[in-house]
Amino acid sequence: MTNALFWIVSIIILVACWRVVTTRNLLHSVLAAFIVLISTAIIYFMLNAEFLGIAQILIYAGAVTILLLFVVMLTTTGPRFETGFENKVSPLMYLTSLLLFALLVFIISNINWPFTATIIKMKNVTEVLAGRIFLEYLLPFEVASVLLLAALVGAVVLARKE
Amino acid sequence: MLLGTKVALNYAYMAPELIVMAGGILVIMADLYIWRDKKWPLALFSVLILLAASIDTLTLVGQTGTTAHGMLIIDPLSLFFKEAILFSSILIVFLSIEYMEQLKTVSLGEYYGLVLFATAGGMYLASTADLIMIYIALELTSIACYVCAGYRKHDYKSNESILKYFLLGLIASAMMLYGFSFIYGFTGYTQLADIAGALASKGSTVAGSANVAVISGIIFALAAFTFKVASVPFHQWVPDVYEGAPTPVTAFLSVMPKIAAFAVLIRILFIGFPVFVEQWRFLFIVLSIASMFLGNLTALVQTNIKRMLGYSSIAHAGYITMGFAIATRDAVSGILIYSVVYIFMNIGAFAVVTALSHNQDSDNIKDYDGLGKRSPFLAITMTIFMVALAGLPPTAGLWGKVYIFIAAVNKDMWWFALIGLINAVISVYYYFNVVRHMYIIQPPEETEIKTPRMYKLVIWIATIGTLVLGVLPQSLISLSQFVAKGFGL
Repeated sequence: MTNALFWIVSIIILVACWRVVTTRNLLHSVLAAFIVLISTAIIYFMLNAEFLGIAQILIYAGAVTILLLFVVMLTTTGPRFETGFENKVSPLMYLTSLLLFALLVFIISNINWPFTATIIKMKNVTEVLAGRIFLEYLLPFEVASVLLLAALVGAVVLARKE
Repeated sequence: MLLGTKVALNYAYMAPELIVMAGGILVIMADLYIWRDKKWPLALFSVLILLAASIDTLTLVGQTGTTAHGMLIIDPLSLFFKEAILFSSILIVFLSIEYMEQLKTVSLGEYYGLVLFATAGGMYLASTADLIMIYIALELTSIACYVCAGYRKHDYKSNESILKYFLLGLIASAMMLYGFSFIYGFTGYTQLADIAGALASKGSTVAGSANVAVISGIIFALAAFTFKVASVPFHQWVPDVYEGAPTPVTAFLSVMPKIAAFAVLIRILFIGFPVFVEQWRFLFIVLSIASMFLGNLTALVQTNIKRMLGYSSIAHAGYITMGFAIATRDAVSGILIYSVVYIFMNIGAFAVVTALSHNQDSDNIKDYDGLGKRSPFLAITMTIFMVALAGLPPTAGLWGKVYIFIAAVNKDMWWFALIGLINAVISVYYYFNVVRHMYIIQPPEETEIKTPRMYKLVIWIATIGTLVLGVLPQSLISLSQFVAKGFGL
């Protein structure tokens, strides 16, 4: 049951990812990205990581996608939201991507992973996560806020009219 | 279960970075409320913050320990690199004062704020041995640097520069995270010491699997670090970004993120993965040789001085990564010596480039024709920096190379030292090409070039550093040998 669901969701993710980069209509691209993010959240739920799943839906599928839609609608000129970019992919790029894909499949399937889904499911992930973030990873958590501030300041600097 | 648990934080250990980060916020606010676009107060305040942080770092000398659950390490290595990073940032702030005035940017306070944030990121990188913290610190440095590279907004090349740097940097970060996920997924730890312990205990039972998982993780993570230190195979961004970014920012990019990345690489390789030394040694041998040849041979044909210095910095990354391939304690101290020397000579060279571009808005090597007559000061100091970058006596550049080559010979890798030596000889050609332009070729016009005082200050500091360390390297060498204790195999 879970296995079948995993495969279905994975195929949806892959197809949606493919649409994100191939469609010429930016709105379609954003909607495909929305599907990718929601489907990833389903995989998080299947791994018992409910906090991560909810955060993924709220922040990525919710906030980030809406933001992207605004960006597309406010900045794209022309009636159909189509990009003017040529998206030519050379055979060499396909070959490199395929080789990388084959290599990764080989690597991942050859690893005897010590943490399986069943082991993860036995833990109360949200409680563990909270403890980890506010105890062990307190300093990275705080520095991440400065990182976001730097990104915010940077965005303002670059968008400002001179 | 977790209620009432307290995190033990040693604020004395955390203070230097906190000073710099808080200072960054204060500079941005001061620009808004007190010193609206005033060039002197903002810059001097930033220098004051950096000086305060470096004095505070000095008070920690002699202590070793960790705080915040091992996220922050205080040891000779971290203090050494923190001082180096703070020092290079101070030079960059001095270098930026006149340049930013000429640029007429409306975001002056933000510029200094971002430089301080980047510095704090570099300091965290130098003093952590945890995968999560490494990632956050690297991003803090990178994001601030991306924005600084785009400060010449009206210049098409600067726009290209920031876009390339940003997009490729994102890919590099994603690769690093992917690599870390292999390492974490297999060992279950993010602290490098724990990872090493887990690998040592698991090594016998699941050896094959450990090799595949962790080595592929290391390869992905190293790919990201080659982006940061600008070595092959992720070097393509270097010439375009160096050319397009404002010159003081180029000087910053070519020094600060690089030495911070070397600091964290020393920890990752020697604390986290000493088990796999044979594998990463091979990787670094290939990367180092490719970087040296590619950097030096491409630099030969450049006509723009910033692009030439960009390729030369790829070659220097090659010389420094030789140290990782050799992987002895002597090699680590060679890396430390090279990093310090590199700060002086590279910032010095870029300071001269900045000073010259203050008078004319282009950076071609042709513009250096007859500089010996037009500005003897710039010409003589540029000659010193070129000699240093080529690694010749009596400058400090000599010792950086000598110590790494000696470490190679001691490890019975004399062929490696020979390849480095061949590259040093190749590099003499293009460095002295600049000297030839300055002294032998007649200038089209013989107007005198005036150098603003702040550029002179930076050039003087860099010159004195290059020459004094060249003649009296003893204290730096013994310091670096002390710091390298505990690292190296």
